[in-house]
Amino acid sequence: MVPIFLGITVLSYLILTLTPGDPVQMLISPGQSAEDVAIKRRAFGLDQPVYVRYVKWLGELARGNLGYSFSTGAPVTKRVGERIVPTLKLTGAALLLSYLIGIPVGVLAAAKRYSAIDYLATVLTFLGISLPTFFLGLVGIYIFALRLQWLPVSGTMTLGGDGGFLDGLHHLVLPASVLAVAGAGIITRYVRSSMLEVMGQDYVRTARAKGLAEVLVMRRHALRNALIPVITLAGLQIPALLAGAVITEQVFEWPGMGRLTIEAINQRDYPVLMGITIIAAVLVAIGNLLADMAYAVADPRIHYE
Amino acid sequence: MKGMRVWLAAIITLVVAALMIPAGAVGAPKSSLVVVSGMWSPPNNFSPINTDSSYGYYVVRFIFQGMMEARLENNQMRFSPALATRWEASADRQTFRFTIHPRATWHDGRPVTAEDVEFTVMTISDPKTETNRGAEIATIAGLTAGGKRVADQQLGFRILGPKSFEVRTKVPVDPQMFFERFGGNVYILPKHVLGSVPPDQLARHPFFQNPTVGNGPFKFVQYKTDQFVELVVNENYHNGAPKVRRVFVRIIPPTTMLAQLERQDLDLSAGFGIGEILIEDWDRVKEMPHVRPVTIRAPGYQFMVFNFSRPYLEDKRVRRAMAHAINRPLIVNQLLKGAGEIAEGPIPPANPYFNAAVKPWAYDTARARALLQEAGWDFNRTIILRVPTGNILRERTGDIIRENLVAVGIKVEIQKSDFPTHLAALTGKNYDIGLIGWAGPTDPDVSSQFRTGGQYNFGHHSIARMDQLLDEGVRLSDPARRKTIYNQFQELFADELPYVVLYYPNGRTVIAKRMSGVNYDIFGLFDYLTYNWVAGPQ
Amino acid sequence: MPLRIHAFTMSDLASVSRAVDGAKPTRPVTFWSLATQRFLRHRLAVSGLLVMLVIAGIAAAAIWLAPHSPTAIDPVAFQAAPSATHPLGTDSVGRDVLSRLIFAARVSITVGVLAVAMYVVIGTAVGATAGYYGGKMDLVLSRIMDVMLSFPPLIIILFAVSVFGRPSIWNVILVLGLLGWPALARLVRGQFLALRDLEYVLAARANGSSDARIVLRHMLPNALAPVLVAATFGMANAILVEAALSFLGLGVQPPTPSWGNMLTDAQSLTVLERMPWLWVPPGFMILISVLSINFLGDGLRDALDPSLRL
Repeated sequence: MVPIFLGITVLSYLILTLTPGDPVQMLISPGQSAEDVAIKRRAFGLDQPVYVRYVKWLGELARGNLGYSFSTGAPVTKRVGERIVPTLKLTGAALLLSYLIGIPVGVLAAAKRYSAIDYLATVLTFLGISLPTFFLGLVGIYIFALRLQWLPVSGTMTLGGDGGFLDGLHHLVLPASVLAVAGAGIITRYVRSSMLEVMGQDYVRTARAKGLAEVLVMRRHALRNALIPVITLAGLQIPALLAGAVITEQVFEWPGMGRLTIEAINQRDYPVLMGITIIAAVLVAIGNLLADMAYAVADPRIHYE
Repeated sequence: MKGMRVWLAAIITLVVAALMIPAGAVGAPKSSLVVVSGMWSPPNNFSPINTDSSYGYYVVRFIFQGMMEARLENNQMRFSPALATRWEASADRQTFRFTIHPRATWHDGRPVTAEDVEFTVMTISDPKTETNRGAEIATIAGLTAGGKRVADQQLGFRILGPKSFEVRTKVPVDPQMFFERFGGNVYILPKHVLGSVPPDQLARHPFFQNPTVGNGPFKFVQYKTDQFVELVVNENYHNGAPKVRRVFVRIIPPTTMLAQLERQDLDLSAGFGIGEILIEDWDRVKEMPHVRPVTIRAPGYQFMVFNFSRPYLEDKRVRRAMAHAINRPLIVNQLLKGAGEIAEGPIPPANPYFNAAVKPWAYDTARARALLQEAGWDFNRTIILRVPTGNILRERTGDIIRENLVAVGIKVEIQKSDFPTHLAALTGKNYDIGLIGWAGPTDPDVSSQFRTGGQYNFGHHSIARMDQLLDEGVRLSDPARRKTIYNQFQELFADELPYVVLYYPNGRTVIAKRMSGVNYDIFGLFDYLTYNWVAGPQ
Repeated sequence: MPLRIHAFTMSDLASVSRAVDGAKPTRPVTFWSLATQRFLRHRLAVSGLLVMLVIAGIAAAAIWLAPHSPTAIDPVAFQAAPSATHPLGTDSVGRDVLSRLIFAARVSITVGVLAVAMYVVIGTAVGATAGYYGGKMDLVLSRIMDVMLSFPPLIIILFAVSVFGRPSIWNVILVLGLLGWPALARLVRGQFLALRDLEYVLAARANGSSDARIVLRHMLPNALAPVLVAATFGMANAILVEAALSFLGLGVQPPTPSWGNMLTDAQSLTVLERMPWLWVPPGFMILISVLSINFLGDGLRDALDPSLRL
C-alpha cells in the first residue's frame, strides 16, 4: 500500500508541475510590482527545483502537515476539512436517493420487460443524462424555486438563520435530487440488465420450475446475484462521495469538495490539489476493499486466494 | 412485487414531505436593516494587503479603510474622508501630510493611530511580506521601484503626533496620483494585533481568515465558506454609524443571479467584473418591478494582443488590417446588446486622460485586404487565436473574430484553454493572437503593459517612442503636462496597435428599489461609502 | 416524441423482419445466423440501428443538407427565434442552429462511438484478465486502476492538453478512453470474480480448454450486461464531456459545432424559459442517439445470449 501511495504522490506532483499555468501568475492583481511577485514565488518555494519541493512536501506530510493553500494562506487540512461534512451530505443524500429509486425501478423494468413501464423508465433514464448537469440544475431551480416556490434557489441554510435540521433538509432537496437524476438512471439500467441476465440462468429457471412464487424467485435468487455490478458501482462511488459534484455545487452554492477542486485547479493551488489527491487515493482504496468484501457477502462463491 | 410498491410509495412520501416544509422558512431576512449583495466567486482571504482578487477587496473594504476614498466623478478625481479627516500636499509636491480622525477606532475599541499607518507601510515594504500593495507605496522615499525597503536608506515616513503623519516621496509626484494610490489603495493594519507576527508568517496568519479587528463601517461576523460573508454594523464608526445593520455578501454564480433577484433574496449585485447580470437575463431584469437595473461605463476592456516575436506580425499594416477586419460595431451592438463602447486604446473613455481625438479604426474589409496585400501577407499561413475560457462573452467574441478574419483571407484556428494555461501561453510567447481583458487605470500610467520588458507586456513588444512617452508620463508631476504626454501616447498606440482593443463593456448591475444611497462609479463600481446605504421594507 | 418515433418504426419494421425470418430456414443454422435472426426480431434494436444509420447519413451528407454554413454569422439575428431563413433559429453569435446541429452530428457521433469503443475494449480486457486470473495479476492490475481513479480527472485532462499540443478530435477520444477504462475494468472484474468458479467454467477448464477460449466463449457473454450499460451511458457522457474538453483546449475547437458545445449556450434561465431553440435540438439529438445505441445494445445482448428467450 505504501509504495502505491508514494507512487501516486510522485506522479501527482509531476503532473501538476508539468501542467501549464503558474500559480503565482494566478494571484497577481493588476499593477502588482515585480518585486512583490518574486516574493510570492519564493514564499511558495516555486524558485526551487521540483524534486526539492517534493522532498520537502513529503517531509512535512510525514509530520502530518499538508502545507498551506497558495491562494488563501489557510492550512490545507482546514480548507479540505471544512468541506467534508457538506460534501458528504450532498453526495450521500444523492447516492441514497439514486439507489432508492434505481433498484426498485430497475427490478420492475426487468420484471415487466418490454412493457410500457419499461419503456418509460428507459426514456426517462436517458433523458436525465442527455442534458448537462448545469442545465438540469437550472431546470430544477426554474420549476421548484421560481414557479412553484417550494424550495430555495441555493445555499445550505437561510441567511441569518441558525441552520437547523429542517432548514438544512429544505436546502438539500433540490441539489441532491438533481445530482440523483443521473445516478438513479445509471443504477436502474445496471439493475435491469443484470436482472435480465440472471433471470436467464439455470438456477433461476430451476427455482421457477420448482414452482417457487415469482416474487420469491426475484428476491431470493435473481436480485441477490444481480447486485454484483451494483456493488462495484457503489464501491466506485465511495471516492466520489467525497470528490463532490463540481457543477451541482457551483449552481447551488454548495460548499463542497468539487468546488474546492475546481477552484484549486483554476488557481493552480498545488498544496490543496495534493491534499485532495491524497484523500482520493485513500478513499479509492477503502472503496475497493468494501466492494470486494461485499461481493463475498452477495455471492458466497467469490473467494480470495 | 408488492414489496417494491411499498418501497416506492415510501420514497415518494419522503420526497413530498421534504418539499412541503413551510415556505416561510425560506429566503433571506427581508428587513429594512439587512442588505444582501451578490458576487460571483468566493474571496481568497480578507487580508487588506494580500487578498488577491477583486472579490476579496470587495469584502475587505467593508471592514478596513485607508486614508481616503477615491472616486471619479464627471471625469474628475474626487476624494472623500475615510480614516483621515485632512490631507494636504506641499507646494513642491513631494511631502504629504495626513490627519487621522480623532474618533477613528479599531473594532476592539483601540484608537487608530499614526503608528498603525507606519506599521502598515513597514509591513508592505518588508522584503519578506507577501503582499500586492508594493506598487501603491513605491513613490515613498527609501523604497525601491517595487516598494521594498533598502537597507541603508531612510524611509520617507514621519510620525508627527498620535493621529498625524507625513510622507515624503523620492521625487515630486502628481498629488492626484499619490492620493489615489497611497490614500485610496493602502488599507491600514492593526499594529496591536499583528505587530508581533514575523513578516514571512503574516500571509498564513489566521487573522486574515477571521478579521475581527478592522476599522471600517462594518464588522466581520463570519464567513460561511463559498456561501456568504456576514457583516454587522460598527456602531462606533467615526463618520457616523451606518443605517443598515447587517450586510450579507453572498457568492452566487452568474446563472442563478436572476433567480435570486426574482425571489427577492438579493438587493444588489456587487458590480463590474465581480457580480453582474448575464446579458441574456438583462431584459428580464428590466421587467422586474422591484429592482433598478443600472448600466455604467466601466474601466475594464477586452483586447486582442499580437505576439510581436512573430516576424509576420511585426508589420503594423498587418495589425491595422486586422483592426479594420474585425466587426467591432457588430460585437458591441449584437453581442453586448449595445451596452459598450469602442475605443482605440488602453485608457478608458470615462477617464479624464482619455484622448477623444483618437478615433477607432473603422470596420472596413476592403481596406483590410488592401493593407494585407501591401504588407505582403502570406494568405496560406494559418495563425492561432488563443481564447481563454471563463468569460462567455469573450469566448463568443473569439468566434466572431475568427469569422471576420477568415472573411478577409486570414486563416485562423481557435485554441481555447483554461485561464492559467492561456496566461502561460501568452507569457511564453506561444501564440499568434490572443484575447484577454484588463482593467484600465485611473492614473494613466500603463508602463507595466506597454513598456519594453513590462511585467504585463503580453505582446512582448518594444517600441522606443512608446517607452519614451511612458517614462515621461511617470516622471512629470504636473497634471496638465502629463495630459499632453498621454494624448501623444494614445495617438501612438492607435498607430502602432500593440493591441486591438475590442470593447469597453458597460457594467450591468442591479439595485433593489427599496435601497437608496447606493452609488455606482467608475471603479466598480460600487461606491465604497457603504455607511450611506439605506434600505426600505420589502 | 422519442416514443412516437419508435412506435412508427416498430410497426414498419415488423414486416421487414418477418420477411427476413421467412427467408431463413433455407440456410444452415449457425450460431451467427441464429444471432442475426434473433437480433432482427428485436424491433427496437433494429429501429435503433436505423436511427443511428440515419444520423450517420446526415453527418456524412452535412454539406448538402445544411441550409447555411455552420460558422456563418447572421449580423442581424443573434439568438433569433425560428424563422423561414433559420428553421431552428440562431445561436448566441447569430449562426444557424439547424446547420450547426447537422454538422455537429459528425463530431458528436464520432467521439461518442469511438471513445466508448476504446474504453470498452481496454476496460473489458483488463477487467477480464484481473478477474479471471485473480491473485498477483489481479493485485497489480487493480492497483493500476486505483492509481488512475485517484487523480481528479480535470488534472489529467489539463496535463493531456499540455502533452498533446494541438487539439484534435482524436485527442478527445484518447483522453476519454484513458479516463473511462478503469471504472469499467472494475465492473468487469467483479463479474468475472463471480463467474470463474461456476460449474461450466470449471468444466471447460477440466476439458483443457485454453484460457482465451474459456474467457471469450464462456465467460465474456455472461459478463456483457454491465458492459453494455456502461457503454450506452458512456456514450451520452462522452458527447457531453467532449464539450467540456474543448472548453479546456482539448478536442474540437470553436467554431466547429458539436451537440455538447451547442448546449453550452444554455447557461441562463432566460434561455431555458424563452429560447428553447438553443437547447431542445441538441438535447433531443443526444437523447435519441443514446436511446438508439441503448436499444441496439439490448438487441445485441439478447441475440448473443442463447439462454434468453424473447
